[in-house]
Amino acid sequence: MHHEYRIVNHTLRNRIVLGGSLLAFLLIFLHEMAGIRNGFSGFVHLGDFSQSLLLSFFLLGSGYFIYRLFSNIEFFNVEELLGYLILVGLLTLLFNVLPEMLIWGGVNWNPHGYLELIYYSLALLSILFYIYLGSVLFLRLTKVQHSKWGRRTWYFLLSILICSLGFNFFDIDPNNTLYWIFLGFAACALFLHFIRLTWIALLSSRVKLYTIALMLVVVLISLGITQKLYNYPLASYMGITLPANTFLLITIGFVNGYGLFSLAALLFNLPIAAVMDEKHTELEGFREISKVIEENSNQQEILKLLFKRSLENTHASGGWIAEIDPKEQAESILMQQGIHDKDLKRLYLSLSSNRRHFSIDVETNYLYIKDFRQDKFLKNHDIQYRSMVIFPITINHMPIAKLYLAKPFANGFDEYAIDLVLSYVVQTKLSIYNANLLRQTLESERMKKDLEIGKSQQKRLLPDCFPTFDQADIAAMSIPAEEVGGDYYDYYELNGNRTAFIMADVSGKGTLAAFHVAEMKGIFQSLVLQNLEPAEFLIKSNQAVSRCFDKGMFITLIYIIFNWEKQEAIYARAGHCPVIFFDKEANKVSTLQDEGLGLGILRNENYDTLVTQQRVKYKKGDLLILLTDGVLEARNEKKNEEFGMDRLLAAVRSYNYMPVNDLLKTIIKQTDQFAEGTEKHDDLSLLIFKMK
Amino acid sequence: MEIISKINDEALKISLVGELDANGAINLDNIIKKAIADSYYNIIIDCQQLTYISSAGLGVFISHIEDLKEKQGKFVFCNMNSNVMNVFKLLGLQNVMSIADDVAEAKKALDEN
Repeated sequence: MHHEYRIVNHTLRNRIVLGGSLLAFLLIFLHEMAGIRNGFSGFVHLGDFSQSLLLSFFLLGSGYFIYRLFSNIEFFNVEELLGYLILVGLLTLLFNVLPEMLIWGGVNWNPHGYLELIYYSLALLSILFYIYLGSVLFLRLTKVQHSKWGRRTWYFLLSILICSLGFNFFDIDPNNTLYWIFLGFAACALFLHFIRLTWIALLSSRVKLYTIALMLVVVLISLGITQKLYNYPLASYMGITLPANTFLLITIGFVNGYGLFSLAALLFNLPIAAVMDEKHTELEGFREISKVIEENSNQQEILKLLFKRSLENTHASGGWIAEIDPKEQAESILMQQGIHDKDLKRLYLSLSSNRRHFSIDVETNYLYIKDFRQDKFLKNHDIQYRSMVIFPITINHMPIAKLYLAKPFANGFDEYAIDLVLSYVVQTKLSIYNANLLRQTLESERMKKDLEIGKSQQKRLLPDCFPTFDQADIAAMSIPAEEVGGDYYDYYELNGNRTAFIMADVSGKGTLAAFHVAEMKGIFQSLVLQNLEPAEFLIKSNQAVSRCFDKGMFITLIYIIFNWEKQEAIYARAGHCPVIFFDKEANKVSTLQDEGLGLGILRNENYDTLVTQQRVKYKKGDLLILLTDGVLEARNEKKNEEFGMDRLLAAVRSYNYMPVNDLLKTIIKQTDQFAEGTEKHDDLSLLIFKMK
Repeated sequence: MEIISKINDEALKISLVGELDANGAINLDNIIKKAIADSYYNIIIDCQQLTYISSAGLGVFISHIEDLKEKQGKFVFCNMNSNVMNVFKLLGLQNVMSIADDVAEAKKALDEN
């Protein structure tokens, strides 16, 4: 709403101004009419001051109106702008030469009195309109490239124009030095605008010729109209010699001056334009080569593009680009142009049999054979080419392609052309490198996604939470070192008010270990149904693991069965970290001692004899903790120390009073603090039982 | 890294230096495979300069136990530091692999075969 209101205000203001200035003109006009009726030929005193005021108001008001009106109209291009001006100019000119035309046509048109006044008033208005239009449109051209100086020169000219209205109020003595000084300033202001011709440089050369023609027409029309104004019969219209009117003088000077300057600049610009166009196409070449990355192009497409653009922009008549097989160092031609196959073969033969002679300098990045006839190996070739440049393309010190360009005359390539192709080659290398990188990134993103899936899948292998047991509070946590890990724990409720728990650690970490964790879960879930004693469980697990696991992979585990009624647990340890036991009454923490070999190491019945089974009794408040060695191996690289069992035992003793979840968090926090940011080395798992 | 030296026509000594991580384990595996292919079935592992052994490293030795046993050979570890010894004992490896105090004892252990 606010925005609309402003626009309405603007147009309203414009209309007021227009209305006001036309009214002023009307008043002068009527005054002239009254003067005619009274027999004067137009020189009527309204009162000098009022007349000058009316005139000034009219000139300024109409100027402002036209400025506002045409400043914002969109012209698509310069030709349209000039075309519009020409149209208005021609109409104006036609209207102004109407009397001559009629006379020439045989009509004796000699207007008197009112008719004369009306006609010449309209003529004057049309001329004014053209001059204002021309000024405003040319002003827009000067503003094509904004700069803070641009604004300042415009304000300078504007203030000169407004000051010039002051001269309407006085009779000017042509010899008045002050007046000429003022005109000097005006000329400066105009000149500063005449040199703002940046829009010319931005035209393409095709348009330039057309624009020259248009501008020529504009200049001619402007001169014609100016001449008409200065031969204006009612020269003393409004009591002031109109042409001498300083305001009009400056605006007419602007229109004609800018037109002439533009015309000259356009003509002088023609040869430069051709060069600018070439630069433009060369830049296009760059843009194209770098754009191919977006289009997911492959190496061959990029190389072909390099060949085409280099050929074009060096104006070479022929050449080819060959891909190099990194393993065999053989060149296979990807694309050729302007050269016969047999010539190509012969050239290759000469080039490859004399490698040392035709070696490419590492520093210059190219080989320039200036004249075949001067080269001892090529002079006998009956070939249409006489000079050639060879560009190798290497990425990461590996040659991947070679570009050959040839011309039928000697010294066909200048420094500039070679530099251009070298720049293209750099861009090409970048594009190919990026294209490869992009492909690798996409692949790696896919793999990362797969790992993420693995991670979420692995979480499903571990129980989310343990059921509440009347006899013990349980807290557990497993943190893998990488996205997926090799630790595993689980539970199973057996008959007779007993629950079996397992904590296992597969050797290694990462995806491989994670797969084996899944296997172990399968083994646990099926064996546990057989209601085995821990020792027997280990023996059977070893058999299963020996069959399933890869050679060299082993697993450590603890299998423990809690008998809630008897308040005791029996367990067997297979090479795993020892169980931690905290005796609340004695306030002593210790590791349970026992023997046992990890699974998958002795893959035969010899394992069975090494299995032992232990029993541990507990009371209320006691703690039983299962862990994997990630807890102990939390490493501080600066101190080059491990967290170790002693620290863990100390922590258990100190914080034994805490509820299990808090105790768990505290222990893990301690290992983190100890590590001081050193990366996790091994998977970490903790399973804490607090007996109730 | 590993330093290999020959003891006699049937026995080899491999000295391990530094940390034996997953990458080193692959290398070690190749060395042992070659040793077995060259008919060395008694291998002394000198752990004097071994600071750390990963599960991958342990896995390499574990995977070749049977290969050596078939040919009446074995691994003998010596000069282990306390860290490495702990790892062995925890895993229970002293039951499947010979451990000696130093190289001399290790050689004796081989002769006992």
